[in-house]
Amino acid sequence: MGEADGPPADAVVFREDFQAFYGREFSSVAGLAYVLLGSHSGAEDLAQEAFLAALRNWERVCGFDDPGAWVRRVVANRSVSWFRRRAAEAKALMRLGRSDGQAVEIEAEARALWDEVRRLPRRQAQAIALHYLDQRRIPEIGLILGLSENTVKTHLQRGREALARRLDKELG
Amino acid sequence: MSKLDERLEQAGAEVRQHMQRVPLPPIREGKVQRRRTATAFALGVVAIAAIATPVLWLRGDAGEDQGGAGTAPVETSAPSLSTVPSSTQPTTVTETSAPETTTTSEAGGAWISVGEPVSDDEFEALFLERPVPGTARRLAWTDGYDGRYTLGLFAARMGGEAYEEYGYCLFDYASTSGGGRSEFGGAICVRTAERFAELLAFGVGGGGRCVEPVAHMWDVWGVPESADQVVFELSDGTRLTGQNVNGVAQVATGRDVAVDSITFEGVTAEQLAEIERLTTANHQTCAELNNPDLPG
Repeated sequence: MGEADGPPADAVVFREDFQAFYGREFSSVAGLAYVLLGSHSGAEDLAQEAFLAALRNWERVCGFDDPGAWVRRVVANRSVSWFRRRAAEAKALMRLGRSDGQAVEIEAEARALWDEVRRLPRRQAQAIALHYLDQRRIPEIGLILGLSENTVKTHLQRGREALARRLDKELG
Repeated sequence: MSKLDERLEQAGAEVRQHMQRVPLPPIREGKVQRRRTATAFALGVVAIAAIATPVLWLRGDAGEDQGGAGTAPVETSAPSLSTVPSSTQPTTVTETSAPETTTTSEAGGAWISVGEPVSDDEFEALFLERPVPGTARRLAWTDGYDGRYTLGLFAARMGGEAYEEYGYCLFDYASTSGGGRSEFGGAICVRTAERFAELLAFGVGGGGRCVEPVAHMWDVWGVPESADQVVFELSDGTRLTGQNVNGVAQVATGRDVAVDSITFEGVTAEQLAEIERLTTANHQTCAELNNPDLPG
């Protein structure tokens, strides 16, 4: 592409801004997606989808106080429908005799614990993931999930209680 | 609990460390789009194969809006009310009601079966009562398998996925094993009634891609102890309370009618305000997610 065909200068700056944001946030957003989905390849795709959404709306999203919160909200919202899609994909791929072949290297105990988290009601799982994985404070979680601080506290508390009960049961 | 906190923090650190080692992928649509295309193809194969399997296909035999076995309703004409099941005597749907010929109707709708079919016959019966756009005949909810998940009967746009049309969808949010179920939640959709998702007065806005209207009630209020705690105000002034039929809480109007509002008996003013706030936020989220500039 010749220079005359290229984007205007301000568009170049805009793209660089997004790239910096993407480079800074991708791993943690992908981590959140992984914890919510339990699928490594799915997490990468979902994270990319969320960042693509941000890119397409970057002019608006970059003006937010916390563009990362917007991306995480997209991940949290889409993770629900992603389950259905992935279920369908898995079934389709299984019938076609293929798999995505992704190996997850996360340590087994941590993986098992996040598996338990995913079995919690959706909002509880999301709140716990944002708190313990993404190290977000309660007001930030509220912003991301569109919930009041009190509601976030309730979800966190109930989720922790349920997890504690299950883990106690597991240990006999 | 501190031990649990410690374990969660360690598990979080483990994932963070792992993700730090994942190379930053180039941001592009190609990968995701190719995966979607491949999945759409694979789903097509599965959908065709499913005709010959004992999947709970829904047969279009409930009214004049349906073109025949296995076809989808035309969204602009009302179903025959004479064939609507009684609100108190749900239709029994058998597993043999598979379409005999094709999965595509003249109206362009097609049955899509995703994941495992929902096992509850009552929900299958509910699904046959496809209302015309702008109305609902029956709204149903339950706390889902083993009391943890919400089941919903409503329409949603399954956008951005392998199936991208609007549809009347029957699915649950269950994601992983629980209550003896280890599969993902099932979903059965038919691609018609484009605005159905906007019409159930649950706060689903925009194109209806947000598919969690019922969940707001449970998030704030918890699962109601009994169905009659939920009251629906219909546009014609009728006030209907929920009822429990075969374990599924529901409201049946018996005819196509718009729902003006939903009342939660026993909910506190504070809870109601929170529900309304979440509904509003859901509208905003939907508006963002349904922005045509966003990826479909």
